[in-house]
Amino acid sequence: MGQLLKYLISTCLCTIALYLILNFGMAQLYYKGQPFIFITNNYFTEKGGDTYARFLEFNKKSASNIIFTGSSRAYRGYDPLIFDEVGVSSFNLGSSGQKMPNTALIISHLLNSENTSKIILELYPKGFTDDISESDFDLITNLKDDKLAVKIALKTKDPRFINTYLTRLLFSGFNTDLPIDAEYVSRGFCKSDRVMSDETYKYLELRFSEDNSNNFNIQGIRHLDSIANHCKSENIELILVTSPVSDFYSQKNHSKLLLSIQPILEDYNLRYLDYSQNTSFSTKDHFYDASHLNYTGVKKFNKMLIKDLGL
Amino acid sequence: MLFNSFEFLVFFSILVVVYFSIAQRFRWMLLLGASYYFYMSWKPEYVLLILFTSLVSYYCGIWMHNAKTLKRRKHFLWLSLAINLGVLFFFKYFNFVNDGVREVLQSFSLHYSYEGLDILLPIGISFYTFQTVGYNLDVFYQVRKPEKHFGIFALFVSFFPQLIAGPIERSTVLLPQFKKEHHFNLERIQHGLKYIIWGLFKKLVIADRLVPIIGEAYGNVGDYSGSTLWFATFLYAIQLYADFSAYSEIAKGLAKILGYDLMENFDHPFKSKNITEFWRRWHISLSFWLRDYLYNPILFAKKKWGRPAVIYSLFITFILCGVWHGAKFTYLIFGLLQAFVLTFEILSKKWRKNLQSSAPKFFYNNLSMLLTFGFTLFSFSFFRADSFSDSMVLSKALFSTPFDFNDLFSFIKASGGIRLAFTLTLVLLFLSMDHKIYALVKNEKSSRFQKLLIFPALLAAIGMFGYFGEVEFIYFQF
Repeated sequence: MGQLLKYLISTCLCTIALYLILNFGMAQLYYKGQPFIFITNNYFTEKGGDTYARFLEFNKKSASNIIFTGSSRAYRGYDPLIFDEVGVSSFNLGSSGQKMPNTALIISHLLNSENTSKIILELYPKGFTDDISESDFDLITNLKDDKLAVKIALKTKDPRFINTYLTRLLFSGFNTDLPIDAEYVSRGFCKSDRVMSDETYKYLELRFSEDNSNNFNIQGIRHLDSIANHCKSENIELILVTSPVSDFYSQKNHSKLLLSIQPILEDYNLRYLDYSQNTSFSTKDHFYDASHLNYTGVKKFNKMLIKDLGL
Repeated sequence: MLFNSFEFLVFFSILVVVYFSIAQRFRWMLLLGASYYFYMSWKPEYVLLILFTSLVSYYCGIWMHNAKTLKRRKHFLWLSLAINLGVLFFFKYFNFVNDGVREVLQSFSLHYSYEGLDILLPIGISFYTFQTVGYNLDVFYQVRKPEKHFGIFALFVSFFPQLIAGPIERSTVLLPQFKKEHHFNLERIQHGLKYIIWGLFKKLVIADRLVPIIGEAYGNVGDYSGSTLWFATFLYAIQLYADFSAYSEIAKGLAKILGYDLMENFDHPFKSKNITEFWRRWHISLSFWLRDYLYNPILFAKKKWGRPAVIYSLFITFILCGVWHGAKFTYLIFGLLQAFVLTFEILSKKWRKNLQSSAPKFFYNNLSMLLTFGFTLFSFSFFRADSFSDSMVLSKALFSTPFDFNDLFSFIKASGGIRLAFTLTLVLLFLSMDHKIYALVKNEKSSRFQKLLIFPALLAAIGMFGYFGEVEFIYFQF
């Protein structure tokens, strides 16, 4: 048995050494100005973009009245500048494809009673699915907080996340020289003035003609429960919101969502503001794609929300 | 539970520790329980089917052995064949035949509305059915005595490393191994781990990386020219080989760790100089099974016919080989193509021998290899095609526009350009190193340096370049 352990340990050590050499070598090798490591697998993303800008700008020690969080529907749907107009400071911590496990990690790691009094969590059915998300790779690469990045990398047992984390270390350093998304405004918000063209509408009609219901993952509900629990212990008010939806939103998924969150709403006595049934939003005027509001839509929705929250 | 999943790693690690901690007399129970658990992790109720198959073959074996006359022995053999192959037919071919019947009746304006059964094909059924049928034939031909211990026989049918996709083991080889005591042996464990690492490398770094590229071309055959489809078929051949041989090698490695030896299932098939040789190197356990239990008995029965008996046996064998893979016309065409070329090889044996002696050796060997590989690719295009109509479109394109390089370049560009080039580099490295690394896996001629570094290097490459989407092994569908 001792010999087997010796063999396994020596093989593991050799493997780790070679793995690190391979990673380092690939990171040093450049092809057309891009480190070769990014060519080896499609999940690697170079540091930069809106997530990078958002977490670089976010300061855990400075307080905001409201923190918005969730997927791209959050960081494209809630503009802190509009909330400034009513004297409410806010910051948007949404990120692309963010799912419940990551939202829970971000909230528990970055938010407490000292830096916020309210969290608005954008609820969307896709946040409860269990597929490997772009959000994991994006966050591991672009989060400023190293501990949080390692937590996200280790929460799954998938080597892809370890690779992404190692690549993050190989390209360490956070500075403002990196490419930032052109639509990024400030305090986490991304703005789009685009309007949906008739061609896009027709294309989306065709694409969403079939049932696009998601598989709800019970783990997602457990994470929502842990978020509610964290907020309760930190004395932060958690408000759940589903922002307006386009004609391509699956009502079947929405029913599943409502059914799944009902026990948590009751247990923690949470407020849930559902704008998915609000018919005053038109897909062609207020959206630029199947899921996201354009800036006209954002202004209308945010003003409505401010009123409903009594701010 | 896939071999390339975290759950399996936990399952197998626990099994190995418990296996070597308990007395020999309990080990068959542990392995049988583990095998059934492994199978049940996919669809629990289908374990009853394996149990049923095991019971039928077990009792038929005993009854055959006890039968006083050949005629009676034959009755029990037919009983076993009818039940085992009947179950296989029911799950695998019933809907196919039903659809055929409906179409024929409709062509005569007769109404037949039965849509068929809504059932899922039990995973690995073709493999374990052939293994049990092989056992019954061995008992019938008195190659071996029937197994008296039902538990050990049930383990032979369901042994988890090779249950889902082979190798299809011989009862004379595997059954006796379950009765031997296997001690904890470091060398065997190291050896087994090498097989597993090499298999995982082939699966995760080579085969699975190719899935989306091949899927794009074969999913839209009408959109691409022959050059692109040849390229996709080349990648498919590599994927199929890497994927299936990976499963066989992981199976071999797992069994080896526990103390059992499974047969080699592949022997560098793309080095074959003719199709006869190809079938001695590709899916060896199936081709040898077909040779011993189908081809030879038919040939023996029709020996009076002379040479036509060989051709007749070949066609029957390869038609069955084709449809064994599934109820699709494309598999039937795949089998028929093999039979035609093998017939050609038999008929042209003398001519080819003369040509070989007169042509330069290097030229002859390489041209033979190239032609064999070209034919293999063509036949694999039927194997991979999603439907019969797709295979027709594909065949037409393969021969009408094989040199449309503009289409190929735009396909490569659309498939990731430099990223695809990197994958191709890995593929070419794999093809050039396959022989050498496999020699190391088999513990043949290796220096201390190679021993120390090659497997950690493969593991590092798996971690770095692997495609961790838990893609099923291709042969699971058969």
